[in-house]
Amino acid sequence: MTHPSTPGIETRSAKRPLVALLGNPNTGKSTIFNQLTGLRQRIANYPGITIEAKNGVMTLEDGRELDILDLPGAYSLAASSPDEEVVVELLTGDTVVQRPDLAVCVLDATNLKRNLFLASQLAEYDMPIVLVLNQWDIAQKRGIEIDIDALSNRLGVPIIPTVGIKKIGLHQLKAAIRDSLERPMRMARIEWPAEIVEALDLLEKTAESNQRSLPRPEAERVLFDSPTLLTPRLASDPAVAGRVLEEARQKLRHAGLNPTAAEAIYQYAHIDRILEECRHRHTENHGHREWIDGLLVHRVWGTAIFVAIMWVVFQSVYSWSAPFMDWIESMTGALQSTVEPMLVNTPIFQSLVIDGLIGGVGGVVIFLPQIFMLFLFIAILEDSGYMSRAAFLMDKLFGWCGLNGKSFVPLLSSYACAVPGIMAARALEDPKARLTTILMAPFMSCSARLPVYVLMIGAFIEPAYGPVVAGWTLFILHFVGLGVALPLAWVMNRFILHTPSQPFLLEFSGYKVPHLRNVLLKMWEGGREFILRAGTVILAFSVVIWALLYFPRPPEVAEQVESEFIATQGMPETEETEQLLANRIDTAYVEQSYLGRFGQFVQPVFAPAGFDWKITVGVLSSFPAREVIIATLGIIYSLGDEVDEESPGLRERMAAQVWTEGPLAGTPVFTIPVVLAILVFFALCAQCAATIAVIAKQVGWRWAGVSFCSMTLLAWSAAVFVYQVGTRLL
Amino acid sequence: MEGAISALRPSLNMSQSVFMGSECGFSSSSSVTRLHQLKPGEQAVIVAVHGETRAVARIHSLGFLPGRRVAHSHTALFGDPVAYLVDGQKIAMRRQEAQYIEIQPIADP
Repeated sequence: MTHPSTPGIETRSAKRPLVALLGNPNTGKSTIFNQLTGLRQRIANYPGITIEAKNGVMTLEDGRELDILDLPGAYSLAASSPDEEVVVELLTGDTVVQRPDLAVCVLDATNLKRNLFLASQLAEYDMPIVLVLNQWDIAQKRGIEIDIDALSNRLGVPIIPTVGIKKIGLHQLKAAIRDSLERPMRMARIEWPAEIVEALDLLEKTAESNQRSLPRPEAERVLFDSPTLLTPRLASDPAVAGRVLEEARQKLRHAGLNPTAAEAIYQYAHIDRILEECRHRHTENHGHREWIDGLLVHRVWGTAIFVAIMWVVFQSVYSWSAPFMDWIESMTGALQSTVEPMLVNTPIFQSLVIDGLIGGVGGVVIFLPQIFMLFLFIAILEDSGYMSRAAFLMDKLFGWCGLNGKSFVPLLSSYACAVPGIMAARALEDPKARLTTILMAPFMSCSARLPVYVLMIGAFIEPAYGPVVAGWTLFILHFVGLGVALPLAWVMNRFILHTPSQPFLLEFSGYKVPHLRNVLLKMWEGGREFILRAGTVILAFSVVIWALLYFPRPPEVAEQVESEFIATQGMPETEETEQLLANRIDTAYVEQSYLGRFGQFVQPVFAPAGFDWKITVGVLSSFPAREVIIATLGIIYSLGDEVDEESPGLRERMAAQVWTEGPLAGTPVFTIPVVLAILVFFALCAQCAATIAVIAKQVGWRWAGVSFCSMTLLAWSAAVFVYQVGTRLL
Repeated sequence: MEGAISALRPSLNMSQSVFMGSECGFSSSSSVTRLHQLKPGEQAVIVAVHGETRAVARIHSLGFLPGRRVAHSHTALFGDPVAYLVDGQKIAMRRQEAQYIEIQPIADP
């Protein structure tokens, strides 16, 4: 529902040619894509298949338009992650997506041999190809000299050297794309040895005799990848398919070939020969900058530097974004006070716009600076090449519980917002680690939890224990989720998931100076999702919660409160007493509202955690989006909801709350154990509809349900535990 | 790896026999050295990558091929994973994966 693909269900014109852009991860492919398409791009969403690719429109010099599909980074067509499966799915062409008319394969010129592996797998498909040698300037600096004309002649396809970030070679690339669409060029294919050809023939003939079509490139995938999505294409009977496949692979073994290794061994030998013919000179400088790695990846110093970097990131996210947050806050307030007098004649509408719309959405938009800041750091760390080192250092720390080092990026992103964090988990090859990462991502302390922490700590912990304890409480709360998630992941992997884990293989990307434009674009893409969410889901729920707290609003309630007030305190004369009466009336309305009644009904469930019915209403209303609690508490504590977590009025009001009935009557509601229970509850609970929807999209509704139920139950148990222990100790 | 296909054949045959001999157990017999035994600063030549799992296909496609040189580059905290330098790329794997790779240590790098 808040998924980025929703706004742009792609309706592609069938007339435009489709160009697929593919390549290994970290080749600068996205930069090329951004520059070919400008800002005319969107996330493509094709119903029925799990394709996650950006679609853009490129305009040729003669005004013709092409569709460009930016496929996820892939090392090999022997797909081992959902991202790689997308590429195979598209090339196979049996999806609802039209088969591309041209493949543009972006290669990292500094690591040509490895990058040509994907290109030569691609060459097996009957599809015109254009090769791009990106990062050509760095390759030249490092002394890698390739005769591009010779290579182009040898491979039979156009090869365009580019420097993506400096827009060098872009014109030539556009021209090559245009020419190739008119005069398609096929890339030179490898000559397989007789044994492999024999095995492939066997598979093709079997498929044919079963009235199925298995073209050569797909037969290769079936033979080399053994269990693959394409195996059923051999025969409808899985037993027959399995037997024939085993027979074909046995042919390779008899010839002394490991069927799993044969493709890479022959393809690389083929690539080595070609590069040997086309290379002038080759020096051993690979840009790993040994002295930097000696420090950053050092088992002691590297780990210490990692901790320091994380500390700086979190410090900066909170301190640098503060002025922007203050600005948004004052803008929200200004907007409310500007609009308020305009709607004074229609109190219901006024309340809807001021409290529901502006208050609700403003309360969410205020976290945008923090989200942008965190994504800025993530983009810088990614583009500089550090992220792969961080994944390396973190692997052991995450490995014991079924995650792996590559879980680090999704989990770090989840500190801003779990939605992009869960999306980032798609790059993980190991299905077990991927699922675990997705289910653990919502436990990370996302920025929507912050307002709750700030409110509670500021109102109760700081006055009682001072700013140092308050600071530490905030710091520790950021790791409560992580601290619970890791053992939980272990339990899940030990007792529930029984699939064996897949290998952990991680490429260190070369160090680069991050490019400003790319970094800003990534930052924008990360934050855009959050804005969309604020504009859709949060907006809708703000209105619904406002309505549930506003209606039914019978006038008798106000009359009754007024007469009681006059009976006990006399006619309100001062402005102060008038305000007091108005607040009492509002409180009574909230108590009588639909959500108020429901809160009182549900309160016994939360009683063991020390929550009164008002806190219960706050908790219940924040299930769609946890940040809603601030607005809800504001309404409940009858200040209208133009409050925020820094508002002293709300804090004082909360501190003044006392139990009106029951055994605790007369004592304050917000004792330290209650406050801690609330904090722990919010740290652990799955109060985010957007996250649940994204989990469902990635791994299905069953796991989304498991995630929601287990997190809620865990949050409740932890809150009860904290309250019960807290009341006995404090 | 600069050699032609024919040069690969002997090593492939050798790997085959080893593979047939120890289907699942990677017994640390003294005659066979595996990549996880490579120590910091040491270099070796890859003899073969054993097994037919997805992992093995992946290891090959990242460039761990018979005949190529491999060097120990970095060890993470607590000794795992280890980053190796192969054909100009730095690739990290866990000891568990490194056991698939049979190597011939080079005495004098």
